[in-house]
Amino acid sequence: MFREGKKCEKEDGMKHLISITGVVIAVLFIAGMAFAEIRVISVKGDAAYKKSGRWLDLRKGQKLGDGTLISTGAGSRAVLAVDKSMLRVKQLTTMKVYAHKITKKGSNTHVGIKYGSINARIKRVGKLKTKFKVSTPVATSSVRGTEENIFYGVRTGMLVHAPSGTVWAGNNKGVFTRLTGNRKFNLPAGKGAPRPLLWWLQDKSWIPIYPDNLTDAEKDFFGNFGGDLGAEPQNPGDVLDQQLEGMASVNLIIEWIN
Amino acid sequence: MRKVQILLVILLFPAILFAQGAANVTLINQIADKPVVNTGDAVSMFVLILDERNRGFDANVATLTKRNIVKDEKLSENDPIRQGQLARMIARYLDLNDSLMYFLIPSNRYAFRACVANNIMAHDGGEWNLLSGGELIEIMSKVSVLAGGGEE
Repeated sequence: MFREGKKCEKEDGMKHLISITGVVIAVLFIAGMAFAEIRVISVKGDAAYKKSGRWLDLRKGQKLGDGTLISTGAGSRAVLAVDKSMLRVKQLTTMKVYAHKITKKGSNTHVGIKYGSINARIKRVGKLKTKFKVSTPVATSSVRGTEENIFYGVRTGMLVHAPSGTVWAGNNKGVFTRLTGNRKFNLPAGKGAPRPLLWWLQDKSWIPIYPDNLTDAEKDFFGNFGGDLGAEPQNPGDVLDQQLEGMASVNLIIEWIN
Repeated sequence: MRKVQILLVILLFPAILFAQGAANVTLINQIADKPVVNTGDAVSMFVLILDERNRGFDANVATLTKRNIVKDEKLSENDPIRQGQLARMIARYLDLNDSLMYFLIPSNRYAFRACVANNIMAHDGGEWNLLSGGELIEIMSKVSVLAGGGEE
């Protein structure tokens, strides 16, 4: 009898604990929902948002809702805080925050770029799983807890660069690329596959390379007119061709990016 | 009465400036949606890149002439702009004289080549090509970065 009474007391205590935990979780969840906001941190030059079909000036401290279209003018920028993450909307950009939600499962933000470029510095919200997607007309990039630069232009297509961490870029037509280090993802509009990730380093040396015995004036001349003359001093292959029967001295300093 | 007028102008000046910001953004977005842009659009974009006020076609052309971006060519507001014409204005603005052929023959053709060499325009086009609004915005964005006016 005494044992059963003690058991009942224990069960009541457990129920109490569960309900208190439930209340605490609910309060944290509501606090989390309240935290989900997009705020304008700073504005330089012309920056506006669209409301009822009209462009209105964007101001520091302003709060923006889901689906707001934001646009910047020439030489302008706007910095937005999306919870703890920072979004730098660079000049001549039009973008939209499609969705921004915090649930007990995680934080989910989806931004779309019509044209222009943004820099996104993503930070996790507490211990929540943080998803940050940036879409353009050709592909979507997905980032978790790092930084990325995304550009979209009609001619260039989508360009993604992640100075640190890992970024995924892909679309629903079979493109899926993992980006790390100094690689750049470029998917031009209308193309089925992205360019090689180190395309921007192809046919280029990191430093100008000149054949031996050139005077400074000759180096200046090659620097200015080499491309037009078809004599590209920057092409290491050409220099190697000329050096086949001679000696070349090369001083190379390589700094690895962490 | 005069004091009141001066006071009103001083008080309204920031409001006029703010309204200009939204007006510029409206104009840029209107241009961006055009399938083919005209000379008036290109001239307006150039003026915005120069951080000048957009005051209508004639005043904008005068601003560009003052800066040696437009010289003796006759510009008509409603004519579609060719890539070569725009390239020539860009080459003058950015002083792209390091291209030997453009340096020797400053024509639309070699201005376009100079813009391609500087990654401002795409190599698969030509100086006679027309431009869409999206293309014009992308080109002018690159010009602004090269001129030191905006972030890459």
